[in-house]
Amino acid sequence: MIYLYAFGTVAAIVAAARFASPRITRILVIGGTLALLAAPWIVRNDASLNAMVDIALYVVLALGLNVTVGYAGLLDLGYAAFFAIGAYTYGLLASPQFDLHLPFWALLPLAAGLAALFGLLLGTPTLRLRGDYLAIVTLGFGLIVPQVLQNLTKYTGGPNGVSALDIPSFFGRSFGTGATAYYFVTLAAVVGVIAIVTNARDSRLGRAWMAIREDELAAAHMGVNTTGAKLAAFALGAAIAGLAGVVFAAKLSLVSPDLFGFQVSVLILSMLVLGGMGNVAGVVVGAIVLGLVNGTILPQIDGIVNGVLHTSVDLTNYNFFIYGAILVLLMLFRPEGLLPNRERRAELRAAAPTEGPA
Amino acid sequence: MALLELDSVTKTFGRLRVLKDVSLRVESGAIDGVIGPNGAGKSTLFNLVTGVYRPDSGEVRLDGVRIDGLAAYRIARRGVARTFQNLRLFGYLDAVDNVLIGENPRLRATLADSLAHSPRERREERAARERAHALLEFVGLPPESRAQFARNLPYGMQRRLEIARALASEPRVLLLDEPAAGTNPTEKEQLAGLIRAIRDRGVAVLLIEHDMGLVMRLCERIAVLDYGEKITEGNAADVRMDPRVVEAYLGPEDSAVSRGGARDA
Repeated sequence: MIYLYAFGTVAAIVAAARFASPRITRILVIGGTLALLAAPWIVRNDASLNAMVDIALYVVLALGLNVTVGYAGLLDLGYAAFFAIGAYTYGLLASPQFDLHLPFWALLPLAAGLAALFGLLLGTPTLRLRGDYLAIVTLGFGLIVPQVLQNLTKYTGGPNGVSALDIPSFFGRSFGTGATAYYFVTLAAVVGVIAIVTNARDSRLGRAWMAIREDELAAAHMGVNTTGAKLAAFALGAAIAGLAGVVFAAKLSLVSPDLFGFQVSVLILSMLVLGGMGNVAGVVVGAIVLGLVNGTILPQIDGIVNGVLHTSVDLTNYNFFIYGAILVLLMLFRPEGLLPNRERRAELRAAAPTEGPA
Repeated sequence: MALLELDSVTKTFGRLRVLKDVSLRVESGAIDGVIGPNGAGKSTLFNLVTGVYRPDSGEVRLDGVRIDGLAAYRIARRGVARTFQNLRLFGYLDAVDNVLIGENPRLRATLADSLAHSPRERREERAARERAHALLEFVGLPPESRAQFARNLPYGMQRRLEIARALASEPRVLLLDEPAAGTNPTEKEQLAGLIRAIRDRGVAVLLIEHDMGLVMRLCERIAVLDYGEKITEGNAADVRMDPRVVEAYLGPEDSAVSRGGARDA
């Protein structure tokens, strides 16, 4: 069932992008919305629904990272740190840790704001950096945050983190232990984040980001406040990750430093590269595909592979090997990603003639 | 009070003095020119005015207010727009988006407006888009090329697009850095018409040209730079007759060959 949903969503997005007819798009959107809303009653399997929530959270994270990397062209290799900040906000303020039990709905904006603040904190000293240098600093930031969370044992519970987090409730009704409530919250987050990032993209701010990505000096000479626009890109990307972190922590009822390591940042960046950086539809597709590979396909084909080959490998340990292979193939055959925006497509295919509208 | 004033501006890079005590005034409604051989400091002059560098000494004033030392984007917002000698368009954005980025200083939408796509922001965007098309019309970029990536436009169109982008902020003064470079005689003629039309819109124009012909025809006042110094200033006829100008361009009679085109600011 989860495959049906994942492939159905991907197929619908691809079809909408291919045919680009308002009528077909409308039918796909309405059908897709109904199907997604009915999912908890169709899937009926809590583990599968749980996996779908994870995938939707990856979609949110990928959309957030796309603001920083795809729109503004600021390579951020430490994105998981903001995810961690959001998750720990919930973990520390809605748990027995300090016996604080702030409500989930209040912590959503708080965590987003806090993550945005850290986004500014990372963005400010790195404003002058570009490309490789920026990547190194953000990479460092991504390593420092989990390390700090691990070593501040007194406050954060150290390597074990914090568990038994509060179960959120909605107007007095508890989310319970099933995935259904989280599913709807995450779905709403996906819709809201898509609305915000597309609005941003189509505004003067989005154009400022693209101008900076293309030619920062020329952008400044056109009156674009490059400092402000870059900080906004960091802050918005971070806030979205903070939001995702709260939902993630609440659902898992646990936070620990190893959940937010470098591999998470890389996984999310791979989603952008796979799907098509800078393009919302592409990013969503990339997140669904890699999220499915990571959370569902690898654990499931484990048994099959080992049964056939009479081996006992744990394929989930080879996930980065597999992403690597996917990305290498992608770079060879479709460097612009599965569903690129038209700039990227043109840029990466500059030498070759373009085939059809993207 | 002149619209744009440079008051004994000096700039050195290491031991190389690129501009020495240069003063210049551009009145509103004027088309003025700066000429000089390669490496005379013309582009550096523009870079000083637009905030790429800050002068070592001297002042740059717009409407009597100092602008030297301000960030480039602030200078642009105060009404100084420019083009670049080697075109710096946003290559992978279409012509309309290029102009819309130029309009940035005029737009009022806040961060919240942008994220929420508020009615106010929608109205502003619609108006901005209309103005962008009107500007592209003004510089002569046909509707069918406006959805193309800037880098795919023919060279002459790219030059025009860059001018449209610079005009989009409704500047007080427009600095054109060798707008005629690489264009043929017909295009040069059209460009002259365009520059006059820009002046008639109420934008003062300061033109850098390597080639004298266009400047002589267009400009009311011409300043001549050589080795970072302003050697003379006047109208076209004065400048043409000035022996120092002849010498700067052709060299003194005994060393006519030694002044090559290798120097470039």
